[in-house]
Amino acid sequence: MAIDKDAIRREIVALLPRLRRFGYALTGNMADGDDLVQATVERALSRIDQWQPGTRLDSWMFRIAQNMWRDRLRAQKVRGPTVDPADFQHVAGEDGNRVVEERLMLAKVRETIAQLPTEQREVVALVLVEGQSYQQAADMLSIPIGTVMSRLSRARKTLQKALQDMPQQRGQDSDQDSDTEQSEGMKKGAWNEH
Amino acid sequence: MSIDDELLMAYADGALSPEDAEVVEKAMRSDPTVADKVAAYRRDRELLAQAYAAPMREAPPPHLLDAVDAGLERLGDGTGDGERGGSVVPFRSRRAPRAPGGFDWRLPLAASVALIIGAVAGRQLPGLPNSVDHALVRADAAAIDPGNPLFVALETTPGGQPYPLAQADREGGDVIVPVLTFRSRDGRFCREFEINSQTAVSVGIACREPDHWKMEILLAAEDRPADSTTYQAASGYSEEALSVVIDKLMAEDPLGMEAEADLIGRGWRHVNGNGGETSSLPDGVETPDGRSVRGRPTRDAVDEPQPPSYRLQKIGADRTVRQP
Repeated sequence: MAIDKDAIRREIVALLPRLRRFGYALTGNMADGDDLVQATVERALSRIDQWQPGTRLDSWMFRIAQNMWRDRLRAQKVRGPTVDPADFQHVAGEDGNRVVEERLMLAKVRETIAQLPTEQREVVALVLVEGQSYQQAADMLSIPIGTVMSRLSRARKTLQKALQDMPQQRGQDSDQDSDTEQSEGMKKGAWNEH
Repeated sequence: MSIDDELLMAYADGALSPEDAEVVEKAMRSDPTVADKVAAYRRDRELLAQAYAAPMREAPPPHLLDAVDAGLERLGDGTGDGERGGSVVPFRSRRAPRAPGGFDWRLPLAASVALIIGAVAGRQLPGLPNSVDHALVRADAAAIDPGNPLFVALETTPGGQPYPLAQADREGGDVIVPVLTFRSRDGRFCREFEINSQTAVSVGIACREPDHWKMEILLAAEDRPADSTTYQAASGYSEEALSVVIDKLMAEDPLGMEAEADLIGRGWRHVNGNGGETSSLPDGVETPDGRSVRGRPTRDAVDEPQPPSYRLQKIGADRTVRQP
């Protein structure tokens, strides 16, 4: 069957932001996420004949991304994702304590998710980041919906705990405070081990 | 039915049947700790959405686009011409219904509209509508909570920029676009926004309360004709209704981009958090510079029954992704 390349190109290009977001959540940083997306695109196009027109291209490609990520984990025995240094560079360049606080909190979220067990991170990426239903996630991962929920619930307990333990800075913070906060965040980041 | 944490989580994620949801809501009313737990799950959801949103706000890097083209190249000759320059699609055809085998665009549309209608009317609207022709929905008590994508869009997206709705954010997919931001007479910050789907544009106004956005008005516009490149304007009646609400609410000219960015950075909080009068406003908002409307619609522009998509182009000429 002839392939409508233009149509496929359009759909894949339109899908790239979501795939990148998914890769970012799975791998913990944008660069690794983009590597995963690139590999996914290459794999998908080399097997485009296996995709059945009429079914959803996005589900198919997310599944490929998911599988490739697992393969890669197995192959590299990676110890876990690293935190994106950009998280902290952004903080350093911003003005305003509120912005710093917000950025730090989101950086903390990423750091916590990056340290979750693989199985929990997958569910978080599918349900909370990509916005799939419990059932869709269960289908993609080939696990019962109850398992999706228990993994998700455990991941969120961990996240809530991590955020609770974060030092609060509200109201009258000074620049000094935010500097302290920032360097603490940097200490925790895995990236400065490089 | 016992209330365990997974049930509360499922409620916060919108995954429960109406019957189960009612059980949870009852428990929330009688037990504040239950309500707190639900709020915590909603907050997770919001934070996660924000934490990884960066790729959604920028164009994909060139090397990924190259990877797509290289991969297509290797496929050999298809029926398409395969060349990027040759694949310019007339705007019109993007609006056309997909051929069999394409995505079903109606689904995300219905879902997003249902989402908003649901947010406004709660359970008072039985059977969420497939078509929302001219529906004028008002509800004074409609709270948009942190778990709602609309909350995240209003909270974090600069004016003129699209916030893609989950699973519908491919090219031409449903997006929420904040249009303008202004301060209301009673000191709240309010945003006019659009929900753009392939076939319809809905327009609404929501104002920031201490912990949620309150829907002031929502106009769910009719579907636009599939073969039309232009927005099918809502009826004069609807446009007028919007103007009336804006008139009633708006205290002064819309805020400029800097003031808006400042508010986004601050989580829309007043400096001393009481949501009160001018005195409680942060400095940046009141400066003549922050209030200037550089390139943004003036009060007059809002009054004119212009198509929202036109306004969108005008406002966001320098940063919108909408390029018909």
